[in-house]
Amino acid sequence: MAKNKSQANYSYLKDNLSKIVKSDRFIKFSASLTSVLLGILCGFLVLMIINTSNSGAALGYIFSSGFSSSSYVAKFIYQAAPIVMTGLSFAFAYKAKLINLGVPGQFAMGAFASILCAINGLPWYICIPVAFVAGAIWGILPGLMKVHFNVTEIASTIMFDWIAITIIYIVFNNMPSALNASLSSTADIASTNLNGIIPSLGLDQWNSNFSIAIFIAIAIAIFIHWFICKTKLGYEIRAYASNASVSKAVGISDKRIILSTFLIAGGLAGIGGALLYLSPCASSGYELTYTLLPNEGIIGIAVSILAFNNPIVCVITALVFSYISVSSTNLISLGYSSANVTFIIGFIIYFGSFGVILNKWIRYNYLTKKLKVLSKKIIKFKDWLFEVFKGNSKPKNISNAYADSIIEVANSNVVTFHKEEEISTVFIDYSDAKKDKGKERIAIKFSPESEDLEDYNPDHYANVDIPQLKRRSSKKKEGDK
Amino acid sequence: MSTSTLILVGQILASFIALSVSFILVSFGGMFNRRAGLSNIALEGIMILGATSGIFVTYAFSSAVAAGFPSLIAIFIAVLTSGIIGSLFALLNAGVGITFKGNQYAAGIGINILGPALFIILAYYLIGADEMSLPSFASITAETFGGVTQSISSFWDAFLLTSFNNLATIIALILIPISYFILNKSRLGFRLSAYKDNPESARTLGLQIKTIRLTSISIGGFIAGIGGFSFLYGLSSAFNGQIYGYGFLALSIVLIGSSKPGRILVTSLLFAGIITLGNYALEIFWLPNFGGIAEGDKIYNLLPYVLALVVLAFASKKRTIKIQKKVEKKENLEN
Repeated sequence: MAKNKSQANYSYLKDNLSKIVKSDRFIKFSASLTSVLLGILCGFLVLMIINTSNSGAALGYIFSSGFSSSSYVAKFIYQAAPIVMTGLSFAFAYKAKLINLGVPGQFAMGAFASILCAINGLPWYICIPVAFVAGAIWGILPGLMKVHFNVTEIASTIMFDWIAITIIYIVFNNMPSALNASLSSTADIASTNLNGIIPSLGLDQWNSNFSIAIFIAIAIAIFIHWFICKTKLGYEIRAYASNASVSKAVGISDKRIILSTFLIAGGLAGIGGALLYLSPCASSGYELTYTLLPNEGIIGIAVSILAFNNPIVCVITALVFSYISVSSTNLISLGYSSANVTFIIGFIIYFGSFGVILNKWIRYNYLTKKLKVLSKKIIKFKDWLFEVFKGNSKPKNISNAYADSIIEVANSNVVTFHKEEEISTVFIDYSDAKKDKGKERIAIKFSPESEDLEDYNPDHYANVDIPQLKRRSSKKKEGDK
Repeated sequence: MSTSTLILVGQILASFIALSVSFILVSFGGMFNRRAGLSNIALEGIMILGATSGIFVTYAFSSAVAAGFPSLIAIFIAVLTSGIIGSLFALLNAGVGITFKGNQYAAGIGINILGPALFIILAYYLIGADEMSLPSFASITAETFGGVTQSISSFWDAFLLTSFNNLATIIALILIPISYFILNKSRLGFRLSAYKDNPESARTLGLQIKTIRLTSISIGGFIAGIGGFSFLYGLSSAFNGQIYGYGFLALSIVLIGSSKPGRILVTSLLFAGIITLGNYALEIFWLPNFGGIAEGDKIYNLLPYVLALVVLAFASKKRTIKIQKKVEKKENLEN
């Protein structure tokens, strides 16, 4: 009885495990994990090529140094908030199958507007909506071009990125009051307008880098998830993404969908800009440049791709990315360039782009084969143990002599036969057939009590000639006719 | 005109040619990719990687050249390497879309991020800086053939010394007729157009579509990689792993030219002309120099992107009208 119970438990566990393993979420999770690990592996290979002796320590830094002190923890959480927002921006646009490569430009526009407001004395809770509006305006421009001129958003959004950072560069250069002493980046907001800084609500007692920015980002992520799943517009966006022509026929205006998606996506990226530069520890302001797109916008795309465009998973992947980038700042002390992090992130995106397929390929071609070989080795070892302790307990042969006692061949899979004055029915598992020996013999399992064929016991195995079985089954078929 | 003005004109023309060569090469590469059904976002990354490999190969040869190794062979190897690296990464991008059925845009973004990072890592490792410029032997001058470099004294000196100083210009001149031939007269071109018209029927005819597409993509990547290397010759400052979104401009040139060699040639000349004018805006007297605005000359940096948007808008609008007319004709015939 006890045995049965444990068997039942075992099969229950097995069923559940196989359900989990085959579920969509698990596949996506393992795909993301695979691509992160492969990306880090590629980065590690480059580290090894450059300097072999320090590469182990460098890998250790990448994995562990983010938790080494409270300031690192605070830093990676603080840097995660804008990345969450840019990731959300790309993810939201992708919900309508629009590829929003304009995230860096919208991010920069949001940062620009929020910094201007904060320097002019406005409080943070006004700066963030202003950033949303600025990002939304910059986001809706490619949408308008797509709607009215049929310009593909892949080309136009990137053009708008470069236009945005060049305009911001020119405008900030004409506002010396908003810049710091060396005119290389914007002024420190904390010194001019304390209201403009996002509050920390006592969290800064642990570390001064903390603020509620990450909670704002998480709240917005949850809101976006709710928006896509529950509201009418979210439903229409999903319908448009799944089949544009059908949704148009049903009466969903594609122009409205494209415009509103770009508007919200741009606004989300704009909020990201505000969250980065209005943080209490944003020691350096917006760096003035017209040759580099803001890094947060590009990493946001990576975040979204790795999260399979799920808003809530975006939070987790953003934390992972900012953890990697913060814990890799120490690489410079080991003699490596800080660009190694960017390199790793690039590889993570590359592998993430076909992560599901890659993961499947690795599982089926590599892991399952290895597991099969391993399990066969274990079974052989078990046989050997039986031989040693129980004497000769090899499977008994039902060879040609024994085959005379076969009673009935239902089909080529089920055989009833006579053995030691007992009648038993046998299920033949052809997967274990050993045809390579030239004799065409098969090890058949027979276990009258339990039908669980995978429960291996050498006593329940026997060898049978395949040709004889086939002959018998064919005879039976002829008899049926 | 005085000689100094003539020299300035020569320099402007030369830098126009250098820039248009890299635009032509990269956008022709993009055209080969697009013909094979891959709208290649990774062109930017491929350009950077081509430039990176070219710059490091010439760097590796610099001591050998100083010891007497023929510099033309070193330049040729650099061009070849940059092409091979370009085609490798184009295939890496295409493999995601064609072989694995993944998200090719995401893969392109990944390659775009990889490119500059790889340059900075290698530069930091080899010379300890994050900027590099081409060694002087990389540009073909009279010294390459054993002569003595003369100071720039006339229009032709200024024009020839900075435009026909690299192999890429010659490659581009050869490439324009060859790519026309490949696309319109050769077997590969016919098969590509068969694939473009109807992939399913091309498959039923027994064409190996995957091979055809990958061949075209590797050719495109090779050309784009060389284009990235040629970009270095037009740079006035040291290369820091950034090319200001010119790869994306090349992508939009391909879109504007609707992947036809003639149109792409004209569009890339237009873009190169606009950018060159912007670069020399302060020295050309009839262009406004926005003196009242700080950093006002950066307004000219906006021009190529704005122009790309405007031309894209007109080209795409025209195309949709054409398609609509075709559909209407079809419907009329059916009725």
